[in-house]
Amino acid sequence: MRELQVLAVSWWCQSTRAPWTWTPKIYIGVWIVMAVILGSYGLAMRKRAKSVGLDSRDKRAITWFVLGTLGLWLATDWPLGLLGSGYLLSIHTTLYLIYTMVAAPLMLIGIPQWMARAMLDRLHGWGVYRWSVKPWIAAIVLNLALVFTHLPFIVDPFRSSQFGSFALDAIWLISGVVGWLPVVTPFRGDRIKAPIWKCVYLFIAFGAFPMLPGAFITFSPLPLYRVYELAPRFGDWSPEDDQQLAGALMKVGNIPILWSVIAAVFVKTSLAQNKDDLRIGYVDDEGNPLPPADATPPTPSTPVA
Amino acid sequence: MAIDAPPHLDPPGEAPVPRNSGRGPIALIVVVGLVLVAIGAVAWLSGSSDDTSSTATAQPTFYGRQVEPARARPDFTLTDVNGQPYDFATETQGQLTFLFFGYTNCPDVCPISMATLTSALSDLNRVGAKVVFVTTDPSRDTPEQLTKFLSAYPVDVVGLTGTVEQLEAAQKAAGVTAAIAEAPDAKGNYTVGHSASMNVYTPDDLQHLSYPAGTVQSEWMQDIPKIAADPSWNAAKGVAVTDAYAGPSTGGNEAVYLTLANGGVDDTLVGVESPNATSGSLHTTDGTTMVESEQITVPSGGSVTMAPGGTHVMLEGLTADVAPGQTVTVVLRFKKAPPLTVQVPVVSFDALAARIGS
Repeated sequence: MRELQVLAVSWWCQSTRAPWTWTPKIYIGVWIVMAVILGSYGLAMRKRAKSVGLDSRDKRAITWFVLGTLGLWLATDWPLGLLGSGYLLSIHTTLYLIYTMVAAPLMLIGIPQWMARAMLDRLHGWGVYRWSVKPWIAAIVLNLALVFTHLPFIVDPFRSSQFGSFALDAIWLISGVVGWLPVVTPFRGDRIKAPIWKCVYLFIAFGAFPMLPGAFITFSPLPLYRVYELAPRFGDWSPEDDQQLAGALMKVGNIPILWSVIAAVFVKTSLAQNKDDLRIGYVDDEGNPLPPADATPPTPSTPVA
Repeated sequence: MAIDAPPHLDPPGEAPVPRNSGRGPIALIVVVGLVLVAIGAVAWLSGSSDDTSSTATAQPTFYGRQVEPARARPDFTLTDVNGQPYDFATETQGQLTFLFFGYTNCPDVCPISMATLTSALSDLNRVGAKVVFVTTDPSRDTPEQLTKFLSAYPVDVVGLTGTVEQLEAAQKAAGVTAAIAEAPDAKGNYTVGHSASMNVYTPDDLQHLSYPAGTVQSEWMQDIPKIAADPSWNAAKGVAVTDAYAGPSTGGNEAVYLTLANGGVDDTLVGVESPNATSGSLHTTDGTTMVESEQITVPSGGSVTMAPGGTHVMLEGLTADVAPGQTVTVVLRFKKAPPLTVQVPVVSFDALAARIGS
């Protein structure tokens, strides 16, 4: 019987209302999608390697992309994918965070510019890209997707079908990629230039707005989602406890990643600034070059050249 | 993590990014539109095929399925967790009652159905409603196991068990399919196939509604107040008193005559008392002799008429004589129905004689 359960194959994780079991399940659609993502990426890299060779940035990109895909796979496949699809709203929210805060940015960072250009050329996607990379568009898309994929009348039917569950996951990944475009698009010229605005964007798009639906979920007096309320219990968690945890995760679960990124933006900017200073010589607070250390200090009346 | 480098450190020689071609907004709108259409189609198709969704089977006013014609409150006696007999019809008569047949090892329907209902009752502060859980797995559901299982819910739940035959009879009486235990696996575990519906009995002692598995807390919270507010369902159809009267008191005693009409299950008048008298009793007239009766049966759907020269209530040791135009208070106690308090008007001897004559 156990062997038969192991061999039970489905396309995508969905709510089945069957009691939870730790017997692994195969979701062939998840594996196919991961294979397609990694396979097409690998083929592109191989082609590039044969034609012009891979530089160090390409090699770093591979690492990021593989890590992002690994996060995507972990969040999509059994057991996390199944738990989030049909048992616990808190896991559903966790998966959203993994999709949008981990997998999407890592995969985006892992796409070199030449690859992005080729993709957009082939898909005739430049128009969509030009729109999506605008911060206000990206923030709206990201948060509309957040709200849309957490509406009870959307979640219940979508999580109850394999295709619907697949669609929700796809929306999360796409909206996550769009959300990160203004910050880590492969086309550096399109990125938000000023570090402070980059941080403001990240805070508003990924940190501030999700607090609203998060609060709504946390403080809702009743279970909001039929699919999770009627799911066979996982452990001793009641639907109310699970929902409160999910709301809390939506509100503050992104904080460690978000503030790490914001901190990294500042640190990297600072380091780059120092490097820049070293390259062009010492500068004062206003960016004017300073004289060598052994030079006679300028008198107040002596203008600095 | 590869965060943006300052623009002046961008690698040289980046090819320019194509500018807006003018197709951007259109392409975006088309893509978003297609996605929304696909999403709407999935939602519609999934929603329409969700057979356990009570919204799909909802009646115009209730999420539950209406039972037509209404079924009588079942009459069965099982054993509660304290080992005492529990007469379901008697113990719950005239009360909003939720009856569920299930088992404590049930992995899904039973705990979820009980949780959604009891959470709603708790939130609605309707702790007075009766919730009765009858096991369909008497071999594993010991009184201790039942107590442990039911104590997890936020309102008191009566747990009942019995022999397999008793439980089958109870399920039959409630009009649900009798449970069947599946064959045990290698570890001896087994599931029990059983009715998943929650039977709801209203104070009129009838079942008007049955709720399927999958009824969520918010649906209960919408329906329970409506059930409790329905005037016809909440008019107790047990024993009612009509046409009560008494003659003027003589010698500190008073004979009371009335008619008992029973719209509920079979019942029995077992006692009478009055704050206006030291004692009360039931009398029948046997020829010229009055005989005290211990009880008077009131059949379901029938009536018992007390009249001079026949059966009557006798109040003895009146605290004060009563005259025509006054009333005496009589409390009638039944085996099943809750006590009835009746204000009985005192009529004149002439009026009494007229009644005898009529």
